[in-house]
Amino acid sequence: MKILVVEDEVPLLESLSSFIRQEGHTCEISSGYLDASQKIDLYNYDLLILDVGLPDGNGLDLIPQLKSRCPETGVLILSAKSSMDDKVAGLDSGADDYLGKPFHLAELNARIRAIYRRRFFSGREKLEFGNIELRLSEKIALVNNEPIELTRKEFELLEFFLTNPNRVLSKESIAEHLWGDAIDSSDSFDFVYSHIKNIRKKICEKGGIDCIKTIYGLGYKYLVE
Amino acid sequence: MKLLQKINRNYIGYSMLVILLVGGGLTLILKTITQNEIDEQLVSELKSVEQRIRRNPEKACFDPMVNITRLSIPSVSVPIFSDTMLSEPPENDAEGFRMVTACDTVGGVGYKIRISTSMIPTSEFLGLLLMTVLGAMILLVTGLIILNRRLARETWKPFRQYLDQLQSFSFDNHTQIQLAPSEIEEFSELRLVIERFTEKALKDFTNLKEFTENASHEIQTPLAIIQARLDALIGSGTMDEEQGNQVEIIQQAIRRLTRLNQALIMLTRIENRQFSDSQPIDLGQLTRLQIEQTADLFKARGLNLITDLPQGVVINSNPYLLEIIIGNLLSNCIKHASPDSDIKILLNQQSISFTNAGETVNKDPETFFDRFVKGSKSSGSLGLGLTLVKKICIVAGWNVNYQFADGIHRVTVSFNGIPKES
Repeated sequence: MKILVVEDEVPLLESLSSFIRQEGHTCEISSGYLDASQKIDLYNYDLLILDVGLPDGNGLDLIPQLKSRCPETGVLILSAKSSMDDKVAGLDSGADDYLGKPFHLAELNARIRAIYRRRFFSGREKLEFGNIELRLSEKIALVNNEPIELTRKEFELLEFFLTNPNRVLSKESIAEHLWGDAIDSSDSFDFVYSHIKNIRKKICEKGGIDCIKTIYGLGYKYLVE
Repeated sequence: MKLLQKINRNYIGYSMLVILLVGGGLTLILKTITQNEIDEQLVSELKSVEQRIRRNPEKACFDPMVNITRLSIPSVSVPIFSDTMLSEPPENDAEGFRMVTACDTVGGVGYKIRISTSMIPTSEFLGLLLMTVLGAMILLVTGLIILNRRLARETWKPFRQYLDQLQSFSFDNHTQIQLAPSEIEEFSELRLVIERFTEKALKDFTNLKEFTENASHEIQTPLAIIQARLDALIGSGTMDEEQGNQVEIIQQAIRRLTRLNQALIMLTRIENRQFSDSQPIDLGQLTRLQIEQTADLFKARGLNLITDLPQGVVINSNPYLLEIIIGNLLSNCIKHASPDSDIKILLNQQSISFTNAGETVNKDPETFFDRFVKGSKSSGSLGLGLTLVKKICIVAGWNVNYQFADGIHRVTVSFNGIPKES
């Protein structure tokens, strides 16, 4: 995918662009409203990652401009204002998704992939690694072409792993992805482990290979050869 | 003591003193004047009696009030006045008389002449006069007091109004205080001062809130940078376990700071009433959804959930705010409940209550609604959860109440504003 990242904080912009490039996308960067406005007039992008609070303008105003020229371009909003009305305003102006700062890169990746799927596969994408296949629209998981019974959370967890293969996912980012703000009420994320244990068991029962590796002190990693 | 009371008390005291002094003085003066008058009459009477004696000593005495006695030794003396009590037929009651006694010698014979006159008419006259004067004065004073009271009630009206308006003034509803103008200069001045001060206070308050909100937003960006860089570091896969443990602590701190920041932004926004749109919400359904979302967290702590969430309890509210209330109260239960204990969530038409067993608290449970007051030492707690709940309830006109007894904590939100004892 060709992605334009608009963000005025350079250290963050650097992190985002290098992360996106690692993911195999083409990434262009812009650190201001006017610059971004010129870029979207000149080039076509598949996805615009947009910070709302830019020093020389409101990022949200770029969306109508973009949509009038290139309606199929996806928009993901990044904002420090992570409250409900900003979210609503952003989505109303035509954005596909919204992510409040600060966020985990793995979470950003999951959102980018979700927009990508909606744009290019109408949501009918399959995630397939080795002998494991996830049919995302139907929420079906197959091991060696045999369906396995996963709970909703387990499916979401496996999807999160397969969206971020070969990347260390902290327990924190997993918990936040699955339970959102509710995890504040918990002092430890041990319950993440019990879900992973269940997934491993269910995969192995059907003769699949357990690719979830525990990285001590950090979290988990889904290993793909 | 009311201002009017204080003024009136002084008025009355002073008036009493004046009345007493005037009454006493008047009595004294009038008495002296009438006595002098009577004495003069007695002296002229004495002179005419002496003349009559000179003309004819035998026929001089025809008045019962005049008493003439012959003296064996002739002598002359000046008239001596005295007050005496005499009983007079037919009543025979002792009455006050003024008497003059004098000795004179006519034709070599000494006479002692005693003339007395009744004091009754004068003292009656005096009393009447005094009564009239005192009556008039009392009438004047009471009239003044009543008039003063009425007048004061009317003139102090603006003052009372200002006071009432100041009392009902609150920063929460953001309305500038509007006082009715007054004709009285002092109140006019007071009004200006009040308006200026409340305006300034309101402005400072708004500035402070804007500052909080802006500061919170500004903090989000560096946090995002830290988080992104940390994720990149973790993702690089070059860290060992020890470094990983360090990173995890950093991660926790970032998360805590993020949550704190978001809660502060939320508090400010609720205080600013930025969530005014409301819609009917099925509270039972909303609660069930949230419980479902947190089921794993209940399970992880071995908590047993007992719920009574009937359908059809519809609350008019902003959906987001209601979610925060239910979410925070649920979190609270999960966080503070004793492991493997029961949690009860009961809903009825008036209220919803969350009950859990937990540590004994030694402070007033109401303080948990204050900012940064934490019930336990668990580091995961921000101390803002219940503050948010309370704030939302205030804005929505609901009542939230915290009870603690025998190791059982219960938080109840009553939607009709009246705390319900159960």
